[in-house]
Amino acid sequence: MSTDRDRLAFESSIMALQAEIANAGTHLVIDSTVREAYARQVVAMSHDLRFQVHRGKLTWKQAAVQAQETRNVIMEIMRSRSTPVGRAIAEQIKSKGKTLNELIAKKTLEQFGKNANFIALTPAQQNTVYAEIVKSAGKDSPRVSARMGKLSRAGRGLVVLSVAISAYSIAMADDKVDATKREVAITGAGIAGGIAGGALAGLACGPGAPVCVTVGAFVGGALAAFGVDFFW
Amino acid sequence: MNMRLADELTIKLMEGLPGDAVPVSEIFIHGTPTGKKVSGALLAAAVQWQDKYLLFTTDDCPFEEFLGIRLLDSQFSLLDSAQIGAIYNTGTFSELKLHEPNAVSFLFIGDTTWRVELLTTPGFRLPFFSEPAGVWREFGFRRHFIVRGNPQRQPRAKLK
Repeated sequence: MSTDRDRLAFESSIMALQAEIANAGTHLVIDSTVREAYARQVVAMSHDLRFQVHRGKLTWKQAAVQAQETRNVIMEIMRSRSTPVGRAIAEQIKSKGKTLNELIAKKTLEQFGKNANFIALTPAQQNTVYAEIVKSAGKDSPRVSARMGKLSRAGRGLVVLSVAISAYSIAMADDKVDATKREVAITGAGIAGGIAGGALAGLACGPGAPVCVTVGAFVGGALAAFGVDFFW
Repeated sequence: MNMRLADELTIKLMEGLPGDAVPVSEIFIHGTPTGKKVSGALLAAAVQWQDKYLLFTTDDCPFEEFLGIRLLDSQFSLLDSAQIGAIYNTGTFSELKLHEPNAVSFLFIGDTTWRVELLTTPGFRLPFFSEPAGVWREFGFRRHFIVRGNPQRQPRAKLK
């Protein structure tokens, strides 16, 4: 009897571990997918604005204004599309998009030297500044994107590992149909519990608390996986 | 004077790098190439401290800017580095002030005054725990400078 109980406890722990691996992998895959979408969107937005200027539909000034406004909105949307953990990391520091005047000042100095004054520039030179702002709006941080690329590979690796553990458990089970249903239920619960746990921790700890939210995601995933396994 | 602005230093972005690569620039002194490279595309400021140089660089990505802090020895070899910034966020480098004998302060991100204290001998650091939020460093246990700051978190959204 005690051996059976031990075996069930062991299997339950392995199931929860596998659900947590899937939970972590899914978090990484979601956040890196959001990042890829972000990189694509800002490039497309910048290209589109330049295209509209070349077609005469917008002036460079109008394009720069739109680029600045749209870019800040895209960043806000991407934060909200991230997992609770990803969002908490992004909100660790108070967000403050750059104003158009800040961008004009920065690009004027970069393009025309430390003593340049935007007002004193010729219209053509001012357009160069506006065009640089539009071009900049199409850039994402190469450091972040490179790191997210690595995390994406790690996340996919964890998901594959989780699937491999599930496949092994199903292959070793006497009732393969029941084992498949149980694996799907527990893994799904682990992922959903992780997202829900992270979101709840975010509400409890406030924005920009990645440690708290990560713990919440881990605990939520484990509780959900153990809970489904218990009632199975 | 232990510290001064080092206006003689400039950097020039290396050509031929892939578009999505982290930018790398060559360091120039009085317009003469040093043959040494530093991560970053634009030089926000350079400070000489003793025989070392503290460089502040950015990647020329104004909508998601990270500030690179690089400490170089007298031969422009990298001694230590850190990044300040956050994903989907940006900052503007300004208000650089020198504080004798060994510190600088500036504004960048997070509604805080950041302070970099330069160490005469490398100090111990604990990865992930020794830095304020928003400061990123390579894994390691030594540091030649300490970054201090009290960045504000994103305020909780108000319910409408």
